Amino acid sequence: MGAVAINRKRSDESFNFINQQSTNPLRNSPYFQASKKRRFSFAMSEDSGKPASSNPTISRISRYPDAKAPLRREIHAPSRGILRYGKAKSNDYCEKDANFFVRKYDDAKRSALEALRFVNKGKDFVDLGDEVEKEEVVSDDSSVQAIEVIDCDDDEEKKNLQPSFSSGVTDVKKGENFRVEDTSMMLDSLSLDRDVDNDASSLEAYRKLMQSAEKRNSKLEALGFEIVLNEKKLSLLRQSRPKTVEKRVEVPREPFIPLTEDEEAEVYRAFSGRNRRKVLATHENSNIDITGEVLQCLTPSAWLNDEVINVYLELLKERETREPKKYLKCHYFNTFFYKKLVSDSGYNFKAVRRWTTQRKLGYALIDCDMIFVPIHRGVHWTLAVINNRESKLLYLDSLNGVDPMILNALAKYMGDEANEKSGKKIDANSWDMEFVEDLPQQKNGYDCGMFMLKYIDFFSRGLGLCFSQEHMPYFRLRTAKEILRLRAD
Amino acid sequence: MSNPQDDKPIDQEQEAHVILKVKSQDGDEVLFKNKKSAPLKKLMYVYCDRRGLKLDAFAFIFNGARIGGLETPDELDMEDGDVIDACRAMSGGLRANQRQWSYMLFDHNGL
Repeated sequence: MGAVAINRKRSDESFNFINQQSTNPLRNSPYFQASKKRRFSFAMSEDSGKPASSNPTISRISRYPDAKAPLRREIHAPSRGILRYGKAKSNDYCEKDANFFVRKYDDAKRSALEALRFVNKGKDFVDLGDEVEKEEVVSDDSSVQAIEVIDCDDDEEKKNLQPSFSSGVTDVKKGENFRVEDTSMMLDSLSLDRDVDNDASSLEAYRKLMQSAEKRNSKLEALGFEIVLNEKKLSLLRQSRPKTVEKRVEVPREPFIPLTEDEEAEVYRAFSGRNRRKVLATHENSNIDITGEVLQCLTPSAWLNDEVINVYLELLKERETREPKKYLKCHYFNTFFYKKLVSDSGYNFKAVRRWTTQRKLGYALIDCDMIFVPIHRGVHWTLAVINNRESKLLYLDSLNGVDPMILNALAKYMGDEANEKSGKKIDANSWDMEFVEDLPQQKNGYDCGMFMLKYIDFFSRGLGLCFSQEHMPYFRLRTAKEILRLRAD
Repeated sequence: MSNPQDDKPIDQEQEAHVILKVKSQDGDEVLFKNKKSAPLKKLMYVYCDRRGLKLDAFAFIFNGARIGGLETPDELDMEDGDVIDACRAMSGGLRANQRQWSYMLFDHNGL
């Protein structure tokens, strides 16, 4: 066995030392000093003419014979030196000694335990075995980074050896490298007297297992019959039991009906530049003319304007009057309501007092299930909902914004409105004020208006908000189609 | 002593006209004297002209309903001193670099 000490910091210099030309007469002299400046590299090996090994270090080592070390000493501590490969001496007494393997096992066990002790201290450990003398070049510097024990067979040539830089302990017999961390595995591998199962005994055990399995076959058949019988009984009981209505969370079909090819073509024609000045639709009840330029806001990535929003809200109102049983009784304020209610001077009920007269609307505001208030925040559309059925005030922002001032103003408005029109006193300030967080969120900077319209649309249908950012391109086309046909579906 | 017949045309003239106030969102107010039977389109044109803007730059709202221009004060039951709101067109969205919470106002006193 030979011990190898590797210094990674100065490995190049060490190998250059080996690579000095062998013709140098002082090469084997103890006073020989290697010049650090002289370096040689060989691209081709001399004898074969083939390219040298991919590792230039190995190719250089294999090229030259080993240099005899001027000093020989016992290694007590890690030291820096040149890579050395020593042959293990044949021990005559090993064959004669009957207790050799026992001692070898004890030594290995002890070394493994010592290794564990060293690991705890965070140090590398090397077991040098029985050998006392090692070939080594003396070095003053002892900053060694890795030491390894290498087992060399007599018949193995040196050129086939490759230095390994991993730290570990090597089993004497098998030459397997073990990490010091797993000592239990190491001890198992070092044990030389492992039990080997006999083939005959294993066959016998297999037969016994087969017999016991066969004994259970009849029981299993009986159990199988019972299972079938019980399943039949269960199915009969299920049939006789009254059916319970299962609540399924189904995505409704109506809000997501795809546009036909004709409808899509109509919308794209309306979006074309030729129709910019042309009035494409006129909503007479709201006195809004929709020109091609106005409708352009429904093209992808455009900001929605108030005219499109107000027309669509009017269409939703008409949809409700057309099919009152299908939709909730709602009131849709236009985009100017909140601006008028809360102006720069603050809350002003008088400014909107005449917006909701019985004669004008045909119904009282407090009789509605829901009241929708679109809110324009400079460059952002949000929605406030007055839920009369559940006595709630909701604020929906597709960017998850929060503004208590809006809901406070609307609560005050509801109190004043009920008092003015119906003579009832409603304390809407005591209602729940909810800033809805679990709602579809926009993932860009331009779909807030579309999100607001769809919050209104889905709430007026009595549906949950089961849509997302992915649906927005479709909703834009659908809204454009509904505005062009002046009919919300 | 004044002739009662002289007062009659004056009363009729007063009845035939209505004084309306057009109020913008920035608080600017303009008074208009308009015939009750005359469409409000002229009033709208004059107001936009004074502001140096096109007609479609404003939405004229009376009692929550948008005025088209063909309606008359009589049809809308307008009286002296009634206010028409001139609202600027609004559009909404956030540019990529504007996506922040600075637009939000918090009523700390209310909380």
